[in-house]
Amino acid sequence: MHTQTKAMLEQCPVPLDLRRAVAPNETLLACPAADIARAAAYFVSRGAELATMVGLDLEPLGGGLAIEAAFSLPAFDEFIRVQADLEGGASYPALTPAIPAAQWYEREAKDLLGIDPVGHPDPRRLVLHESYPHGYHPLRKHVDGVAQAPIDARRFDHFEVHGEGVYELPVGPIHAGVIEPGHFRFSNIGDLVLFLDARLFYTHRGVEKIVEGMAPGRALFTVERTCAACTVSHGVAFASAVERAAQVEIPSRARWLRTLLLELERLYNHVGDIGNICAGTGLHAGTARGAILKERLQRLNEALTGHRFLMGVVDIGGLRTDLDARALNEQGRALASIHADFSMYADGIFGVDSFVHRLKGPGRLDAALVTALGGTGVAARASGVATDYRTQHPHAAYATVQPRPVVETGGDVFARTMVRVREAEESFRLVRAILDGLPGGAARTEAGRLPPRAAALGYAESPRGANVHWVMFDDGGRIYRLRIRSAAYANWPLVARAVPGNMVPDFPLINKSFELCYACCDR
Amino acid sequence: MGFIQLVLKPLVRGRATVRYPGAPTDSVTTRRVPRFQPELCIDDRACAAICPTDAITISPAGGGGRRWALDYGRCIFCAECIRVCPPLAIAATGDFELAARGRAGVIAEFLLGEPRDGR
Amino acid sequence: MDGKGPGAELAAAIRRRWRRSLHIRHLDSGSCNGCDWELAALLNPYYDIQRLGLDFVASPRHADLLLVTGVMTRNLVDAALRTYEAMPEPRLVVAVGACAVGGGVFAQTYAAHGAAAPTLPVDVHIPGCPPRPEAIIQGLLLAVGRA
Repeated sequence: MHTQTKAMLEQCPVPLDLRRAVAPNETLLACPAADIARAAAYFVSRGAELATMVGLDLEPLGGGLAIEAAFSLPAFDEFIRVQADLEGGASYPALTPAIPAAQWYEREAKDLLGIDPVGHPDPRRLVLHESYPHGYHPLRKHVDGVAQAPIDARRFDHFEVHGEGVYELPVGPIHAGVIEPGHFRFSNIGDLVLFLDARLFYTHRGVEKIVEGMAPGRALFTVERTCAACTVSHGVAFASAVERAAQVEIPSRARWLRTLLLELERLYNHVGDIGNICAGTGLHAGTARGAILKERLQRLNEALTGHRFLMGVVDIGGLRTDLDARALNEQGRALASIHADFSMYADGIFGVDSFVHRLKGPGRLDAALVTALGGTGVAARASGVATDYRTQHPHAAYATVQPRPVVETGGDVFARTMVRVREAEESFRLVRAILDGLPGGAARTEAGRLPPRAAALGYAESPRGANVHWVMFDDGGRIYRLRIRSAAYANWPLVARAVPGNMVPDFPLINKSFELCYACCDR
Repeated sequence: MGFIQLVLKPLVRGRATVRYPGAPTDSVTTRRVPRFQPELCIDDRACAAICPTDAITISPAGGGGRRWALDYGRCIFCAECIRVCPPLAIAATGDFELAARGRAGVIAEFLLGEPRDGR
Repeated sequence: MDGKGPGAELAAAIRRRWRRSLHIRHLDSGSCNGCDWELAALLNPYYDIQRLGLDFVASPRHADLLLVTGVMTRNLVDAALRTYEAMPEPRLVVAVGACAVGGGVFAQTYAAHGAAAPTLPVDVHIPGCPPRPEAIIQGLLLAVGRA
């Protein structure tokens, strides 16, 4: 523990009980339920950032309901986890009034576990839509994970804006293009958006409940499919949570190859996203050439790993199979050619004045709002918030293969696009460095024994920001509880705040500039 | 200048579009698609045990035989069954034309001892 | 649908009618995004399915075929049914990927009904996780009787 962390804990106005955390850079604390909001607000005031929140049902282990808030201390690569036993009750004082970033986590725990955050400003449902009956909390341990609850049909509760000339524009959940489902309720005057209520979780599949009781190796197949576009970062986050709990060091070749996979994932996502921005502005040559570059990167993924989305490569303890040396060599050359074409492509599209003009201005977010709402990844870095788990919490081989930070300050569509362009350039450089310095040896080790009833965090910087997995095991080394906090989950509330004040026709462009996954968020 | 170059590039690079389905695909296809070779099966059931989606089922058939079935409609092509099979009775292929009309059309069924491709 | 009876006749009629051109509506009923991204890839210059007379349309009212990806989630089942019902008849349904065909890694949960069938009457099943773009092309051509 860093001396400053120690000092921070000593000065905490709330009595904290220090418990033993299994992972090396985690500090586990217990506090009375009545004090958790105060403790959390204190940590945030001292520079801690909310990483995730988890609701727990410990009834089969002889306990009751509990809530945990985990904070990142980005300056020292540490995490503080504060857990409160609800002492037989089902409520605690909400964190959200002091920490707006907690808003969704608390609403979710209320839906899925029936844990009530008292004083939360938004009492509406989040994950479970109106068809789920009142009082039904599927992540409670006694609830059958397969059976369907009876259909309840209450009215969809959304915010309404009243005033002369204000009208509502409902869009979705099924959209016009090949896009994921979500419902957007705009309140407008003429072309101007006054308020946006985004309703998500249409693709909620119950991923966290499915994996309960599974061995981690098997659960990984499901976890990887939380989202195909972020499959590596979810796989790495989950696998490293398991490895950190088991206190296993994976071989350095595995760490380097995971870094390679994470950067390849970032590359095809960023390049594809830049192409989609062209689609949003009607720059068709840019759309087509962006799609070609993305396809070439996905073909490279397949030639290297056997999967266009890189699924099934990460395993607990390293990689499922080592990557072939000859393929690595060949693909290194292919990548150099894609890199050259990408640089020319980026120069080309940014040479089109009308394209640049269209990107500048819409969807502006300032740094203070991004920080308050807990933004992460490209969206945060484009608003001048220099957050990146690759440098703040070096995972995989990022302690050795260090990315140069990319930060823009405009906070608009242009800044988010620029961050992607610059990060893609940086990823090409990192991949080259990995291929040149890749250590030999094994690409996998045995995970070892999992500590009963212990939990650990695992994390990875995805193309959209930090994916944080919180995993707890039962007495037999199976998963007791998994909480997946994806970057999209952290960033969706930002989208709703970036749109008001803009024209309705700019919404698709603003939305594309965040390019958040619905599947990642909804689980 | 840069953008003109970008627009003209296809003229230099030539055609990107695949000829499929007019001609076989030119992409390197993933060799993760399992194909069962019943004559090699030793009935250790490792494939069914490891399958993360229970796509492989082995059930008793009449006359003491067994029915080995792979439901390609549930398969996630993780290739774990290929990896764990000691006699390599499950081959890794790059087949991808697996679509079929009707649910039964995507299930490969074999009666062990008396191999018969049900697809 | 390959058997005898009115079903087979309808299938033959559909194949005759849509041999050359087919409009597709995509429906994500709870996908992980993988199948969706491969559908989007069908429109890139590599696969360019418009060359085959196939195209995606914005409204189910304009569509001949519904392409379903993902498990059928409880939160989407209403929207999925309404999308199907909005399509003019005759209409085809194609399930794309392990989730829509057989439930995949998610199958039945408190939040999902599993595969697209029986909620929707699926005509053609395209295995894969996700199916590669060529596999989706094969399935679509099979649906219209060109494969």
